[in-house]
Amino acid sequence: MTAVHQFLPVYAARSAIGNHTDQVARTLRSLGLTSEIYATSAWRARRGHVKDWHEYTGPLRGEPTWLLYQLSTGSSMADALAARPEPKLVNYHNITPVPMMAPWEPSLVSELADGRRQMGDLSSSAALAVADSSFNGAELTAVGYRRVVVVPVLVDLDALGSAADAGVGRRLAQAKSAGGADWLFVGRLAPNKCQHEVVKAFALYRRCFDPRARLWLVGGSSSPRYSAALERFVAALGLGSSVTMTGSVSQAALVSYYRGADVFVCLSRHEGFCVPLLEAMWHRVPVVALASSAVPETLGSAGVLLPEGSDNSLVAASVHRVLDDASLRDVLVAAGLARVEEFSLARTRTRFADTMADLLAGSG
Amino acid sequence: MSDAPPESAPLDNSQLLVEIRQEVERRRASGDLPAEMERELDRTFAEFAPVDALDANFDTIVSKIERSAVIDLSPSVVSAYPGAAQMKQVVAKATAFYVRHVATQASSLFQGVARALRLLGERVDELELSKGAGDPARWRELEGLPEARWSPSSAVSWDDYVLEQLGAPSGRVLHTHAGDGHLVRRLIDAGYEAYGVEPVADVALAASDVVPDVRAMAAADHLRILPPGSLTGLVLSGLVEVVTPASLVELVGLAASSLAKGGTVVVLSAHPDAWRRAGPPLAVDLAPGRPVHPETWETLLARAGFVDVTTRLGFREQLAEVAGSDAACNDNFARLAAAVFGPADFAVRARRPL
Repeated sequence: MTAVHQFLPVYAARSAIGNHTDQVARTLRSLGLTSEIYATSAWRARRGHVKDWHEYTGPLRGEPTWLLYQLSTGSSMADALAARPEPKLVNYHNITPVPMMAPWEPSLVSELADGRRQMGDLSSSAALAVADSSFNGAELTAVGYRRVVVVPVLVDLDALGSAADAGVGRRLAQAKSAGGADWLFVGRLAPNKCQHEVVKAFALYRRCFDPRARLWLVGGSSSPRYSAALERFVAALGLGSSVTMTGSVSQAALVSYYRGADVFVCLSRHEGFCVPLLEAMWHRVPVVALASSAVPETLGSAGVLLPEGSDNSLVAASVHRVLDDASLRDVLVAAGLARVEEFSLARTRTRFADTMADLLAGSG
Repeated sequence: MSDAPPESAPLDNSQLLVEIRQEVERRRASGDLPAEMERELDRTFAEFAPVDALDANFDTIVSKIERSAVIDLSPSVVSAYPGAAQMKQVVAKATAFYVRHVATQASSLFQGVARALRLLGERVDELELSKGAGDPARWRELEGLPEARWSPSSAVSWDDYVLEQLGAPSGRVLHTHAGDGHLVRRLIDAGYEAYGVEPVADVALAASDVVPDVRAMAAADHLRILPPGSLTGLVLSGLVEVVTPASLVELVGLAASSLAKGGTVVVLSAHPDAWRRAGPPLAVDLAPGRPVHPETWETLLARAGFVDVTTRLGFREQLAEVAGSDAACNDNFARLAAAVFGPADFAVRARRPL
């Protein structure tokens, strides 16, 4: 039997890459392959679900073995894998560009820079690279990967979106009873995701269109300094009671936030794929987004796509238009549902499985 | 939540954005959506952002350094862990004398550095003034230079030429120093996704009567924030001719990076009349920059990696229309015109290699 084992620096259940890794493991096993998940550390993982990567000592006797590396940051694991003799695959989810993070978190620079270097180092030994998006694929090609296939992130929206947190739902409903629209953005608090721009646009929106509006920024932080600046910024604008930074939330609470949202606003300047766009569309929340990095290809024509460099007045007015124009909202919701269908788990799993089957058949 | 999607008409994002921009301009004009508020929001966030995360000017950054030079000696002692807050308070009190000693010296150093930067900035300002360099907009403010002096060509319309050079509509086209927005309007009517930037705020606001998207900012400032390869067409006109030589070189580099492969740049010269126009002597004599010859544009564009660089002279084209197909006669007319009227206005077109 052939084995394809996955390796990733940090496994975090409920994260986009954690969910993807789980789905990839299922897909590989459905092909009759042996597949384990190895990580340096695991968060919220079921016992035995993820193994310490030091436990991996090499292929079992006579078993052809491939190593599939989930690449999203720098790690000593990548260097160790690169030195191993087994054939390798890279699944690239993009790495935050150093210039975006460096001013805020200098301590992360070496990790991110290592990730970029390792991405290049692995290009010579990787038989195949799988990219979440064409945007990611172009980066792989640029550093020398010879064979790149685009397969979107594997995400089971039907399963993830089914159960809501009743308590959070009640709190959101109570807030909504006072009137005003609910803006939502989901993603780690990070300078490249530009939550501060969302806050600026939201401040303009409250001033000009809806003084009772609320903004929910859902997600943990990957930059304490940026998070602190964001909190102080919100306080300085006097928006403390209308802007909520929830921190990391449970999957059920996340569902409640999507269900309570009137609009999803994404002004991120760097996304390798952006799963929350799919989640928003799945939950019938209209999307207003900046056309940066991989956002346009994930969103397609299912949202209001603003050109890069747009000012925040345009963002605020776009949200107003979406919320004020019922027919436009209907168009966006319908287009969103159709778009999500293109990324359904059945389709993406088939694409991933076909890719792997082609690779293994070609390898003899 | 997800069900089978209902049928609906596809979204025309470009048309929607045009409508939303018109709404923004209407609200700006009425004062509902003050442009100053956006700047104020930027300034407020800048207070909390690290210096090197700011896309700001010299004064903003020095101001931030000056504020940072005062070191906060009151650390947060809150903690979610039992007893940790008391522990932090004890440590803070016990080390206060030493921290204050170090902080005082560090503050003095930072304040000294900030003061030195201020003085350096003032010296640079003086140098720029004495050498006639720097930002033309500032000169205009200082000397009351008439706006008309900086207007793009008015005697010859290059609109048709620009449309011809840009080819079939695709992607985004930017007109820098768009003035009254008439060219942007022409481009939009011709099917381009066009917009403009105009450094004079009042002019940009007036242009909103003609087109939905003319932004009040300078060409270089806007090009700097554009992602590489995001434009398919770029029309440079007006003030781009009278910036300092260094800024001109930078502008050509920015044009190269902002255009996609195969993208087209068209440079429209200022009309010679604009240079002969009278103004306050001090302003006219000390105005920065010089009119740029087409050969200079050609060289700069070629050095920046542009290909297929060609120049078209305004006067000669007009004379050719008058004189028909007689080439020798046209040349004589052109020489006569050059002798009598001085240099012709011109357009330089170049393309990014595929």
